[in-house]
Amino acid sequence: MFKRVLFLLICLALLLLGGLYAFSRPAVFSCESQFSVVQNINSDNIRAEGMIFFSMADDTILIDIDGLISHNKKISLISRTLKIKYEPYNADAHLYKITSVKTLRDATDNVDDRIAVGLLFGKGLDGKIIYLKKFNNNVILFGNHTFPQYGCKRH
Amino acid sequence: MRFDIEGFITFDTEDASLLNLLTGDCVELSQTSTRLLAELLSHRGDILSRNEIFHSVFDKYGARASNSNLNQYISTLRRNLSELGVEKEIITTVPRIGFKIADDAIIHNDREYRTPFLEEKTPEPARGPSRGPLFQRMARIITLGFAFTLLLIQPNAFKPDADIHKMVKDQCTIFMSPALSLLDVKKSFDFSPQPLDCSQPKELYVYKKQVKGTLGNIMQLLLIECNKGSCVSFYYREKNNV
Repeated sequence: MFKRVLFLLICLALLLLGGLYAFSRPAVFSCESQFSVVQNINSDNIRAEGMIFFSMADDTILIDIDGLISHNKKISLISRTLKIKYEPYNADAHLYKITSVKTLRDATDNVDDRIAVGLLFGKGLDGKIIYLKKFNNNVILFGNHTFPQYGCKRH
Repeated sequence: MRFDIEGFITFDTEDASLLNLLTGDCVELSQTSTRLLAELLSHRGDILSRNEIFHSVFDKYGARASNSNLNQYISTLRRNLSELGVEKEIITTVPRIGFKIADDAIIHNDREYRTPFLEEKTPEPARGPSRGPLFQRMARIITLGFAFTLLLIQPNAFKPDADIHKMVKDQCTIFMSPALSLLDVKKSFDFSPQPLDCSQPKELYVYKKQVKGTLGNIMQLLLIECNKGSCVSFYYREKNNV
């Protein structure tokens, strides 16, 4: 009888621990990739190349970007980290609303913020709708409200 | 429950009867007599006081308990056993205390008694039953482990991606919007600095949206090429007024 009770208690404890772990752990997803952007809007041309790192939790994305941007042949450097908080806007359409952005610029970062915003890495992103999608549970797609612009795969 | 008395009398508490296995004679007992004999046989070796019997045989079942009543039932049981051929006094009186089953009485119940012919015919039990609890325990642990694993897996990991179409070309596995064809994928690489190359195993993710309207052209394209875990993404956007 005592053994049965002990066994039952162990089972319950394991179940409780498993439940607590499953429901309390943050679902962190991170990946890194090389990126290249070409944007031609009428006569305004932007090219960007570099490396991008994503770390995505339930309500936060950390983006680390390091690269070169050319705007109408004027080249500048981008090197910054963004901590973006977001909330679901239309989860079925993979759309999320940015609630706050914290930007940390490296000393070498000299890109114009208006250009950076166009590439989703500038100030003034608060309130914007972004595209965010996890695919196959190992690929993340990130972009503006109309289209995914960046992607990387978890190692 | 069944009791075997002296090897030839069977007392069945369910049937409330005493049966002589040798002659086939049977005596039916009253409910109170059955409870009384069952109580005495269950506690054989112990002396049951009158008060204990009053409580467990009479009071508990709403019957009237009294010394004369009890004596009457004991007397009836002794007579029944005697009529069935039991010469020994099975129920003995312990003066000023109560009653007990005689020490020299041969009593077995159905948990410990097996008739010899049954023992001969019944094969030796397999070792399975002794392992039963172990198997049950293992099954419980496996079930628990499975439930634990299910808890660790997030449900969204199984959410199907209905808006993605999968295609294989040579060594490329291509994931793309359902509206796109392989030709569209090939054409998309015209915008990319790298041509489509499927000579090595790789994964491609292709998203493309294009509108050619009277006011102008709008196009967005995302190509992600993943090779051995490292990915390169290429995004192209074009918006031109006519």
